[in-house]
Amino acid sequence: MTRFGALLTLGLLLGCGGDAARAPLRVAAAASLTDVLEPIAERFERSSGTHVELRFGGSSTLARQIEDGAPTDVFVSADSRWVTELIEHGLGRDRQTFATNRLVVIVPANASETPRGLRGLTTLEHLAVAGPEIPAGAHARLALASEGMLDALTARIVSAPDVRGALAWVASGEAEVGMVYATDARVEPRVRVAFVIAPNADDPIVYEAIAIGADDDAAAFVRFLRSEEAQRALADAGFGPAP
Amino acid sequence: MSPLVLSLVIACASALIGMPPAIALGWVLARRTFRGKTLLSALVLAPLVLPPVVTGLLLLRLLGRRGAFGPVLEGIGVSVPFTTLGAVIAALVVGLPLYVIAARTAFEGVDPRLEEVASTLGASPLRVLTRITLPLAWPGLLAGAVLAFARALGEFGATAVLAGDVPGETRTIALAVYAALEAPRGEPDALRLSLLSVGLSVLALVFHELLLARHVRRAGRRA
Amino acid sequence: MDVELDLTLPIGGREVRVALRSSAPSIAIVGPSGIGKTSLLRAIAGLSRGCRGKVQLRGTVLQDDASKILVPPHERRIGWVPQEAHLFPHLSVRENIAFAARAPSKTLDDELGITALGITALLDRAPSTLSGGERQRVAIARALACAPQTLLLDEPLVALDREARAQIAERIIEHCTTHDILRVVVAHDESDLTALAEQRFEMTERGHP
Repeated sequence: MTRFGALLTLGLLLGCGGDAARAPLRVAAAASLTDVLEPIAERFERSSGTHVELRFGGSSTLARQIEDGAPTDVFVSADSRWVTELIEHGLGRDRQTFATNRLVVIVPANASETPRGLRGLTTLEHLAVAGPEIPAGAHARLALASEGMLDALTARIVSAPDVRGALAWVASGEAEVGMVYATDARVEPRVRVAFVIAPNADDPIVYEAIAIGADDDAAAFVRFLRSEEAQRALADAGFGPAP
Repeated sequence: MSPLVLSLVIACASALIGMPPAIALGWVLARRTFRGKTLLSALVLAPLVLPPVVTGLLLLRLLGRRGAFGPVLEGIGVSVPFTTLGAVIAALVVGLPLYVIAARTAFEGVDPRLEEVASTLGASPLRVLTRITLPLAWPGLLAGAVLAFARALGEFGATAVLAGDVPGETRTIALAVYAALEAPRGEPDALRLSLLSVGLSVLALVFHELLLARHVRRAGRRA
Repeated sequence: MDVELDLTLPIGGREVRVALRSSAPSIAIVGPSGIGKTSLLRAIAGLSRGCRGKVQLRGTVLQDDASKILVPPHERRIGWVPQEAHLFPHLSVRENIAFAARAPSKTLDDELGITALGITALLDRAPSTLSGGERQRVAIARALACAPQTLLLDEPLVALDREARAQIAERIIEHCTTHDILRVVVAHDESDLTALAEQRFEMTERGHP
């Protein structure tokens, strides 16, 4: 009786612990995706039964951690250079683009005037953007250059070490205008969008994911990001669709 | 200006400009009792416990164009945000607590009885200050300046918010390292800058220790 | 030389009332240790923050709360020789003395009897290299150098050896007599007191007689 009871208990434990016995999926994602990835991860968990562990940070920081061997299964990046870098080092596969973003020009919510185009920015004193090394900053400068406005506006550009810094400057009114991503502008009630920058085919703003290592679940998560469910969540958050 | 030169210039400027207020505050806190002294001390030390970004935001609220002092500054043609001046102010405010603590300790290390004797010998309060107090306190005061300098070298958060990351004007070593690390294979640049920064800071701290030892030798409560 | 004191001082955590009147050219203040003799000297010098009442020396009112008079220490024309010398450690002996002298380049010896005080050889030394007795002599010279009208001496001879005491005491008396300086002395040793002071006041639990 006792031995049978022990075996039964053991069997029940093993059976019930079915999900817990599988290792969680560790996903490292760019900080700009924080709000939108959490519900997407939850849906993935429900449909696949795999628990997802999210951690957020700057794309460069996360990529370096992965290079240094930090246990990671999926890398979701806002910076294509780092995805390329990891693949070149043999660390990632199944590269997928799952979302895009747009640049918008923002002004403080209570600004009296709204500039209508890039040419209208020359009268304003400070144009807040992220630094040139940050993807958002690089894209912004390219957008200005492709309109021939970069030289004219260079003197007015004030750089922040990250996009949120630029956003904060416009929100506080310190800078009269800024260029950030559409998704950034949405979360800040103290700014409003003056106009949208048309996407540049030569310089797309993309979000990519790769699977690190050989896990099937990792590849499944990457594919899930392109699923209808995930795409709807991304669209709701202001991201553009996967190309 | 390269980030190295810029960092040196900003750190030196903030240490120099911060000297009068730091010495004055240190002296008042060391030698005087008055109502509100605790509050003053807490205000001065606040940047030490606040996240630097918060300090930067507060400075922006005070000195930005829409800030409390914005109109006044604009009136005299001074612009703080996004300028080297802003970087100096950020470094100064962040380093001031250390400076004031060091100055206060330096003055407390001068035996007040020496000042009293000087007074009875006919020296006016100003003469006591310049001939007795300051000469005895100066190694400790200089140590405070060096400490503030070292702190300013590493300053990032408040500078980023108040002055931004403008290469040549406000991109200090710390900001440059941050930017260099954004791109793949940026490690060599980042490492080079970091080693420079560490080297300078270590030099500053060694100098600081030497000055402190000298201060103890000079102003000891004997004779 | 008139002295009039009517003070309430914080001494050892208590408020103590001290009253004294004298016309002698030199006064000694004696009493058990801890009773507040040094505190009283400090109050006369103007260094006691918590002291209230009246201080009048040689016809000049230095403090009078009723009339809101309070002369700061550096204007009181008082020379103070503290019990522990308190020489300025960053200045040489010569510079210590010169600090007190009003006119910069006086020949110190003529005025102060540097030789008589036995410190000529010490003039260029640093205070930290001096013995206790040497420091005390320098402190005396320094106090004399500020050309005071009143000299406050707190145990001025205690660090000197027996032979030196009589000699230094004589020098002090001579200087004070020549320059018409009022002497207020705190001392333990009976022979010191006899040498230095004419009139004697004793501080007891109840204050001065």
